[in-house]
Amino acid sequence: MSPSEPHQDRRLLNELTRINNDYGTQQRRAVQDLARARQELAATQAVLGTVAHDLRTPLQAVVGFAEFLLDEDLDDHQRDLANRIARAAAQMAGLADQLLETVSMGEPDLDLVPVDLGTLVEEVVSRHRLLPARGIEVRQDLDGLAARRPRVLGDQPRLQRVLDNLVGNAVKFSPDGAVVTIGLALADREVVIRVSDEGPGIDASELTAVFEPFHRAPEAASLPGVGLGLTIVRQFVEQQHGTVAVQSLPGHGATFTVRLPALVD
Amino acid sequence: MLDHFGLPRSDELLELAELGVSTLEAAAAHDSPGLLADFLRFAARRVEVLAGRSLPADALRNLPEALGHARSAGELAACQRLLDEALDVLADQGPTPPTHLGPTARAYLAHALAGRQDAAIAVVLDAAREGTDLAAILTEVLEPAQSEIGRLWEDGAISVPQEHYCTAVTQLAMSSLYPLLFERTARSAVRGRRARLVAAQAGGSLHEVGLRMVTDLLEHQGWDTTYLGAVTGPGPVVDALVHGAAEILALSASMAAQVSAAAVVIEAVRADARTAHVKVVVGGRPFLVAPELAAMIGADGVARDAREAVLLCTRLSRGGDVAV
Repeated sequence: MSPSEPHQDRRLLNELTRINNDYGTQQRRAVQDLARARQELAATQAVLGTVAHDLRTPLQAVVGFAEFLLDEDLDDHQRDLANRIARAAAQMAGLADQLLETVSMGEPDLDLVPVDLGTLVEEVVSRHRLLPARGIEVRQDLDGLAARRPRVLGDQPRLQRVLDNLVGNAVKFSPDGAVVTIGLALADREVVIRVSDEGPGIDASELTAVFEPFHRAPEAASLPGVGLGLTIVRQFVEQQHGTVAVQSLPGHGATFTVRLPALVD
Repeated sequence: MLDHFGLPRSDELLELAELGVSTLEAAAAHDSPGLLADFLRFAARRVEVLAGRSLPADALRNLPEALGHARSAGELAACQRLLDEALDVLADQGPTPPTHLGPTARAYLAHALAGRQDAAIAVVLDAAREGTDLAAILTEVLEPAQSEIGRLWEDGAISVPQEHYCTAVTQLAMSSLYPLLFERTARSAVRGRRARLVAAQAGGSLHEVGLRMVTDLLEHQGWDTTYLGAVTGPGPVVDALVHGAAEILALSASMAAQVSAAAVVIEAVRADARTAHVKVVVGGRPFLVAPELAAMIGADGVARDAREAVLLCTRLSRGGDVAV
């Protein structure tokens, strides 16, 4: 050992101490910032919740009265106007519902029961068939199931919301006359739900952002919505110990894949 | 200086001698025999540990003369007077007694000294989970354990790397409590404005545990705190005070030479119209052994430990006057 080594050791030790101190200071700041951000988010959610709740009741009244109006003897122009009022108010009431769901996402109050996902998929497809939009066909693909019906231990209304949001999102971004497919399969003790569309797809830089609250794809600028549908999907799926991911090539549509733990009989 | 005392030129003794020169200069600059006396007590103990012998009293008495080749006769006389007074102060001081430790602090320290970082941190986290108040964990477990670590090092019972390791464990233990500390503060934050504090170590001091503890305790009390860590000039402190609209600045110094750095920061804070109203609290070893330094450098208050610092900051934030 050379005579200078102990002094070097001391300098190194001091340098390590300095680095360690800096790390501690940065860590303190990061945890503090995170706590502040969470607090601000909670405050924002509380305001949003109040606003959404207060909007809901009058909007439901508008929808109801517009429907009463449609039962009256109206000429074509009047009927068109009443239809527009009913649709717009229903859309706004839907947004208020989404907002309310979003702000209550942090407190899962799940009612877990065995849920037959095959039945849930069939119901979602039926609902879209009853209200066809722009010639878009919603198809189910249950070929990967063999004889067994996959079930999960889940919260049925929230799972229904997950499927509705994914299919609704796919329909929204699909061109007129396109096909949206909702597939169901079993793989490695997981139930896999895939919702595919023939829309414009998602740019690689947007793939991780699509689940963030209030994120709006550039293509969605002229479409209805506030950017909460996929956030709700992710939150509801994760609350039920599942995952959701998206794959897409711009120009070739997008596929959202939900994986949930299968209920083993 | 080592030759004057007939001591070998080991690295640690050389470092001690450098510290002695800077302490003598700081004590002379602030006319503080207390600062010098504290160093001499410490140096005498370290020389016993490192060289196995006492500092000869006559060699201590004529130290200024031995170092005085570049000084004027007036400076030399002032140094001699300071040293004589310091030696008188020193004569009244005994060795540092062991720190009183409760069972949790003893368990924590035993793990840290044995190099069991995870076990030491588990002691702290378990105490928090079992409902021990965070303030009690900081002031009744980590603060006394840290004092004892310092005393053990001074007495030569543990090495420099061991002391650094144990301090790093304490820092990690404090960081482990952060999620709990900040989430709780955020949840309990009252509506309206919280009292705000900026904390910094003057002169680039590496000893940060004490000040970080004060800052964490205030955060726990509902304050909005900004901990800057070590600073080498007043710029970042003034910026943080302005940016955070803080009313209190907590400054610490761990060595005599850093008292001047603290004075420079306070002067800059007073000179800036945006921060002139800020109350300044100082703490750290030099102010513990020579509390009169606080008023001399323009501070509004001085605290001997973390709890006292919290009380003082609270009083000052409410507009109370404090006798310095």
